[in-house]
Amino acid sequence: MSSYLRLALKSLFLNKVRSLLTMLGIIIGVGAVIILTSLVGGLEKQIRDTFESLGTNSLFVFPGSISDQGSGPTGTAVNKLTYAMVDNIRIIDGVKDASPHIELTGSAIYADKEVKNVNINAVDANFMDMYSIDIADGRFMTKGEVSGGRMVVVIGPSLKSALFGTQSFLDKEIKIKEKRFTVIGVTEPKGTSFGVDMDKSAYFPYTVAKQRFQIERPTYILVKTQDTKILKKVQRDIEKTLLRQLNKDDFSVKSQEEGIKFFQDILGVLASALGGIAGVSLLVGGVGIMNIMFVSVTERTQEIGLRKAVGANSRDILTQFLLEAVILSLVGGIFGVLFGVGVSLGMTKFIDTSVNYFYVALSFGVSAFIGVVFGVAPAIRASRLDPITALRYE
Amino acid sequence: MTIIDAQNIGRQYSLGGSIFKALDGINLKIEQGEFVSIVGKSGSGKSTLMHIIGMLDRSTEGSLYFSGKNAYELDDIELARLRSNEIGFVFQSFNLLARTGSLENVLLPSVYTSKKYDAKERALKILEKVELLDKLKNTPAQLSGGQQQRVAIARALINDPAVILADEPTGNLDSKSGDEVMRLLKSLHKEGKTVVVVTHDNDIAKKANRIVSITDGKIVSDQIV
Repeated sequence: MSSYLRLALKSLFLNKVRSLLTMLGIIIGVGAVIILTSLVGGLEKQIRDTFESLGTNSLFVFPGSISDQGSGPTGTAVNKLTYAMVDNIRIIDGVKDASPHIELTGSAIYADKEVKNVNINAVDANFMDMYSIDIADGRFMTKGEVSGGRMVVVIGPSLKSALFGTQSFLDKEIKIKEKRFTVIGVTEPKGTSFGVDMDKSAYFPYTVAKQRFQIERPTYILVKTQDTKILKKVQRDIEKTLLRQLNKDDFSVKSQEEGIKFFQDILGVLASALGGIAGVSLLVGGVGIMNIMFVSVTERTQEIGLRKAVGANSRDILTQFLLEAVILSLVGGIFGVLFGVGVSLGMTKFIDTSVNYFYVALSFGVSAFIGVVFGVAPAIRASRLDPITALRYE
Repeated sequence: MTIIDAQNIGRQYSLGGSIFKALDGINLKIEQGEFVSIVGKSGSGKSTLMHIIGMLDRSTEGSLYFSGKNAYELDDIELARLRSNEIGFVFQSFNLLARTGSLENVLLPSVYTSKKYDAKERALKILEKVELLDKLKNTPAQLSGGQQQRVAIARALINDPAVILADEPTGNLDSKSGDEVMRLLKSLHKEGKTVVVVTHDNDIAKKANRIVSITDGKIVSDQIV
């Protein structure tokens, strides 16, 4: 076996550039599977962290129906939640507090500075307690400011430094989505969450969203119960309350755990889809190997004839060519793993990734398998060559 | 001892429906240590006969015994082993591996043999004999035709086979290099090897001790000189 290995390596080395290019298909395929699944894994980890940071006594009211068994949301995307429902939920027995949450993106402008893609949150006065956010300077909005629909805004530290640098910012006017707001506070740094910079955020009263931006419905409602033990009961009571106004398919009440599962399901689909697409490129890499091996067999017809004349049997030839294909895909797989894991780890500076070693093993295994599958046909062709015809082949 | 015993060998090819007889009723016995040339014009069937004797091809009629063994009762693996251990081929167009040095080319058959020996040591010894010790790393493109054929002969010798089968070994060479190659084959014969040379060239054929002439797939004369 070792002499076959030497033979295969030798002929691959004779065609270094070609071997490398052939491997590139596998490298990219394996690398892509690992990178994409790491990105999804990172996203999943962030989402779990975010949900978990909200506490185990949290319940979420999402618009639309989310099935418990199935994967991902199934209901229509039509949002039928209203702000009044938040008040209805608040008075349910066992509910500590409830808060509507509207998520938007837009630009923020101060003087000549503009920051795009700001994570805009229209929230209630209880937002700070509900989401465990602290104020570094200034203050959060009051109940009165919320009910009065005052144009006040609390901003995240990275938005603050982007707009104001080290200058004072309190009571300054900034423009968010073309509307003027007075800055009343800045939050403590929170880092990134859900794949976005949480500190590039702005918070203003949800009533402003309703009155000035004509947003009639909350993106979701966060509910906190007085105790984790009564979570299930409160969940049922919220459902009952909402069913008075809505149909069963119009909303879902999910616990933190179910919320995590919900996103995990979506991300699972996403991971499979992305992994699948990357897997196709792995397959294309395999076809590349097959193609090159066929070319190689044709090119080396005389060599095959000679090897047979000097005593190689069909199995020797088959083994040699199959080994070449397997080495191409295995070495490609190893480089692909190094490339994929390296890029995934390198990216953590910019975006959270979580290398999923299941996918690393899977993609590497598939690459090895591809070498065998796509190497067999050319190897069989080589082994079946008639030595005399092969020797005469020019 | 009879090393090759071809009995009533016939080889037919079907070409587009019609049957072409390349060989017909060939009976040829070659004793160990003989130096035989098989001579005939292009298309006479001499190369086909060599392929059958070398067990690269199988006759459609008759039988072949190699050292008393019926070659047609052997499977692919056994045939390959017999070829590897007992036959050394030399071809008209040398058939060396391109981009591969002389030493590596000579070592090629050692991968497949079941004989045990120090391949590298043997290869160097043989290359010394064919006077190519200074060209170990040279690829075929860096060698003259005569040198390439000497590498090919060294390759044929590496597994210490009983028989050397040479198909037009001088066909691609100038007369000086051709003579060199024939002298080399003759010296191998003197050392006890059985040598069979297939050629269309009567002058080359005359260098052997026995001349078998083939015309239209039949042996027309078989004489000791």
